[in-house]
Amino acid sequence: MIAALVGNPNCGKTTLFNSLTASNVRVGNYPGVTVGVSTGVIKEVSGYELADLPGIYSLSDISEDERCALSFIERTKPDLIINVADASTLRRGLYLSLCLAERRIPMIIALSMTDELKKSGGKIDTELLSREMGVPVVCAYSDNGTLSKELLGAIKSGGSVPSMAEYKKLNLSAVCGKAEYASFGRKRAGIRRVAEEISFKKSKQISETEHDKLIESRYYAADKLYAVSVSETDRKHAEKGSDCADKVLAGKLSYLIFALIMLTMFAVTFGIVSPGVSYVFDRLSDCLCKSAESISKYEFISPLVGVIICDGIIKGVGSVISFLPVVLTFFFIMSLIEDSGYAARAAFIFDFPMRRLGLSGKCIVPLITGGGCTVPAVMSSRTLTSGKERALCIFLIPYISCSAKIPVYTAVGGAVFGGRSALVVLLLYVFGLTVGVSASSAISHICNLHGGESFLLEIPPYRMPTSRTVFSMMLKRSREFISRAFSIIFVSSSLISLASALTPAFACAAYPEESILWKLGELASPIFKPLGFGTVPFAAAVICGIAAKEAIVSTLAVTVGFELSALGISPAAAVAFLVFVCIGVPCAASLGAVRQECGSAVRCMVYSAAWFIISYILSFAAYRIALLIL
Amino acid sequence: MRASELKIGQKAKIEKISETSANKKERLRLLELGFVRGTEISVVRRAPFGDPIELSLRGYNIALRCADAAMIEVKSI
Repeated sequence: MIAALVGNPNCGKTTLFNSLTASNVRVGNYPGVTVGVSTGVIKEVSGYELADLPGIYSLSDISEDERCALSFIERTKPDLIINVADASTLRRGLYLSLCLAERRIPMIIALSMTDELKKSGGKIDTELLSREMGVPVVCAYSDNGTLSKELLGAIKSGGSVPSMAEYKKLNLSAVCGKAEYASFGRKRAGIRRVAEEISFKKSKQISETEHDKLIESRYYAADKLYAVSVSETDRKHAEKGSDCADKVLAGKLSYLIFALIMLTMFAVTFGIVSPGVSYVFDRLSDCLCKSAESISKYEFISPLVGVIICDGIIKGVGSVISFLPVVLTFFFIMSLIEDSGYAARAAFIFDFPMRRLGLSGKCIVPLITGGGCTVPAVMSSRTLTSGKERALCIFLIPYISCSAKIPVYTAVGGAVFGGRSALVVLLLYVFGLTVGVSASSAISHICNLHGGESFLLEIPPYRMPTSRTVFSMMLKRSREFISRAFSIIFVSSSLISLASALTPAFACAAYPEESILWKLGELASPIFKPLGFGTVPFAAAVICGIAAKEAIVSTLAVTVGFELSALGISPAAAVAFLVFVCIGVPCAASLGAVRQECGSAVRCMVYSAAWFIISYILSFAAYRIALLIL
Repeated sequence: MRASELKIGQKAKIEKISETSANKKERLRLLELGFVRGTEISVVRRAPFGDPIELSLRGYNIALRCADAAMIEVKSI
């Protein structure tokens, strides 16, 4: 039996999903659905498969999320709909509940965030609401934070089909008056048929005024239901707190505060977590490699095995595992920012400036994340509703230098410019941003984009993030990240590691010039001759950069070292190289994420071609200009 | 008057959402979010550049661009 979780965005659906399903989750694809839908098996009630549908406000054919939910309901025909409703925004949330009720599918309404409501002194009479709507209305969680027995009981009982009689009475008579109700009823044989016709895209048969009336009448019904079952007392108190906070966080100083918060986030992740993890992993992989090499002492095992284990497996796994804690920390901080409500404010204050670039304020979070790692940034662009905006945002993310590029900047920049490597890093960041902004403005002018079709963003009151929600969000993102990026990073790192340790004849390479990687570098170096860095080590480094940008540094370290004299290229060429890395094609894992979010490999290749061409041209220009100066 | 012209803290009641051939989707979206006839709304704040604006209605707050807010015809109360 199939159950579907349906609710407004940010109502606690995903948290409830994780609580109900625990570990049996997979991300699937349903017919007609482009967004991946998470499904799992409900733990405590047997026989139910649960699908976590995207957050929606109604069942009309307006946005991709709504089409996805509608498509799921129509084609997969769930046996039970669990409507998750945020208790503090119930007056709006009941609208979706009524839309769902019209579908005549067994339903349960599960109230979330009830602790928030209690704090502000409000109360919901769930029994009265149950009776009025004809469906079980329960709180999702009990007071101590575990899943409530009432919810599990309601799921076991299979929910109930909403009673239409009550709905009709509440609904139409409130708006249309008895006479109109009668004629309306005769013409369309009931609200349900009307609703079906609208949702099934036969809206031409319904006039706009009738559709408007239908929406109005649903809201009047929602108002009535709300008025009888909810008593709110001190909401103003909770809102005042948020209001005061917003005077600062969304006021004139908001940009500065945002920059400070972002800097802190980066400092924690890359100043503390990343070096810490790298240290541990370097020690660990050294130990393991030594043991692997000792195996090759046995004569009947060729030294090749040692190399494969050490360079292929250990280094490959190591590169992913050392990557993971950084990405997880990022996800954690992002989840905090989202759950606290600050992410909405960030989108609010950045919408106006971003519009010039053809983007909307919602792009700010994906773009900032790109400064850490392109993969989660591309994944978080999924929240953008406009397809064109999302495409542009994904195109721009690599222009924000990811953290893996910093070691390249400091190493090569430091070799050329001495101690001023920090300045080099800053300049390259600014350069990348500038190219990104220019590209964005140009593209939005050509394609006539004005920041997405519309910008409607709910601004929730600030709240203290709960560990349950934050970890739940982190878990969901990490799952996706691991399933997408893990294998790509592992395979590409292993391949390149092996390529640098083996000769084309698959024997151990005694020195770098013998390796497969060197041979590949020889093949590739003519491509980069016009850019000044057409030497084998640099060409090989670029190839390694496909696996991970950090690999560029290790490759160069092994082949040339970081003395200016030993680099083998002119300072101008080094500048060109830095430019090329800064705005070049991102790593394989990023490409994998881009392919996933775009849905087509062709689009991904188009992006890659564009990135490559732009970086090649600008790198060439940088080389020529640098030759004149340096 | 239009919702985009309201002052901060000013309350108003929605009369209708104007329709043009271009804004059908946005209009439907607004209606379904609760911007129906008779709903009470008020302006909470404006972003640093004056756009978007944050409105309060039906117990929740929502931000929208001035261009979209201009579609909402209101009467001050």
